[in-house]
Amino acid sequence: MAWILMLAVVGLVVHPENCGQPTTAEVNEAAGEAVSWFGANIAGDGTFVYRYDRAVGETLGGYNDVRHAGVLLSLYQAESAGIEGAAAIADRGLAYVDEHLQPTPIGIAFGRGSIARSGSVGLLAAALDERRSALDTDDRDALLLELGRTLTAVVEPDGSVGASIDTKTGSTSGRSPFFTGEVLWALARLHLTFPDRDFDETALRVYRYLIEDRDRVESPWPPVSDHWGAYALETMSRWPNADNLRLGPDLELDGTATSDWLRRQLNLFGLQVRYESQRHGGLTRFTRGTVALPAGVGTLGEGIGNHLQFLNRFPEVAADIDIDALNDRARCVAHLLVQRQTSASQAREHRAPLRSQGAWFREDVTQMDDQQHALSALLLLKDWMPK
Amino acid sequence: MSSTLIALAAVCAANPFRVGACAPESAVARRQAVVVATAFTLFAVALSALLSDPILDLLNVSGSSSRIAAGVAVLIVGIRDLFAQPPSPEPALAGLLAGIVPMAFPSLFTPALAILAVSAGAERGAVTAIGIIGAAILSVGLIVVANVRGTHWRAAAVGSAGVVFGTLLALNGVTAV
Repeated sequence: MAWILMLAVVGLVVHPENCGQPTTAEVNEAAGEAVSWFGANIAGDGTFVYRYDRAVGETLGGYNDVRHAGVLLSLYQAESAGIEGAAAIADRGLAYVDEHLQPTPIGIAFGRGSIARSGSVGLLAAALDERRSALDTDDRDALLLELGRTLTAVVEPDGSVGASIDTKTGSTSGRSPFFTGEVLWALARLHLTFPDRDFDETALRVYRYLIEDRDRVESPWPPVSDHWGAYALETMSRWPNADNLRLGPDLELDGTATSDWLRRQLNLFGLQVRYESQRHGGLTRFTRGTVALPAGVGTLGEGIGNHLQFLNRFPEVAADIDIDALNDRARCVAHLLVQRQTSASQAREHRAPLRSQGAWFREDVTQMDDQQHALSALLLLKDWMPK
Repeated sequence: MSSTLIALAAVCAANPFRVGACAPESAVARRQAVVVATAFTLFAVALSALLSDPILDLLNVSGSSSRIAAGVAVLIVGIRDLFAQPPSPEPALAGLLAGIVPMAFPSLFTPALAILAVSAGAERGAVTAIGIIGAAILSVGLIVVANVRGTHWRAAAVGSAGVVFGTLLALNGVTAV
């Protein structure tokens, strides 16, 4: 009896994890389906279907410029990864960008109204930089450099990042849990593309703030699992002077600052993947809640995928991290995404199949960034799957 | 999951003062029963550790989550030991078999020890896990042979340690990749 009771309690605490190992081909196919969703759900003005409820067969309205830039980024990433036609869809989305670029006293911003978000500027810069390499074109370099000027201006002396830009005065205000990483990543990319423009100086300032101060200052609890920070670290590890990330002589960083932050991040990502994989529906709705937003699951894959690439380059930064376990989590996220994507046959059960096919839903609702983050994650993770 | 934490958690999971409380009174019978109980438990632990990967695969539980399971199990045993009276030597099987029931089962080879062996086997490898937990079991056996009688407060003290080490083990699993 004691054994049964004990196993019952332990079973309540630790559920089976729904983790498999999709093949690279399956992951590629899922990514292709996501790209097709964007192709089928873009309007003439360059916007995408923002939210859609398949239960009632209606779009739910609203729009978000940061997410628009994020979608373009994921599409250019798909083109870079060899999914043909993805960049053409994204280029159609640039029409919306061109309509909403605003001059401000600190540089060009992207957004509607009198307040632009630094996150939308950062993700747009990352998207255009990805486009630059995917299409091997420099036709938007002038805009990229302008966006870089804006990004430099939103960084405070301590490395923190202003979230909102007053387009009239150019003043910045507020903080965002994700814009810091987005701006950092954009600056890191710009330094790789334009190494003579000193974007690295600002990027390193943000980097120091992000890994040492951000969680303490902005969001003491719960700590942020920062997939954008993961992108940034991976990009910075390709800088010619990437050794600074480890030792930080220019930053007066503690020698273990990067390792400590990376370890904390991997623990957060790992825990979230294990928790999410324990959500099977049925009784687990009561013990684990409903499944997470697909965008959230995607960000777990983005974080882990980038950190795996970084550790592949600099394994000594976190030598005590269990790489096998990390690989398992990567495969688990990919499995969850492949498994939860709406197939063609499932889509046909609903009123507008093209609104559903290739998308990820939670409780019958999808939002465009669900596809964005899932697509980016699949592209990052595909190389870690069994062939 | 460090070797020290595994060893301490194992001692708490197989609380020597509870095991001692259900051991035979006479020194010879006690010694014999301890040998049988220890051998039986070592065998069961070795089997659990050796089969850890297939067991976790079958249950679809990762090594990291198995640490949480082991921690929670040790924690529960610790809470029980903190408040419950040590078990009685009766009923028991006759002769040497008293080392099996009630000493090895259910007192020494607890569910917490079994789950700990599976988790440690998956995380540290079967040989290491058997070595660490085996040493802990032998220590428990020596304490029982030494006939430090199973007063309630001693068992409760080990139980309180079980609460601490079980919590640490569970947290170790929560913060693992």
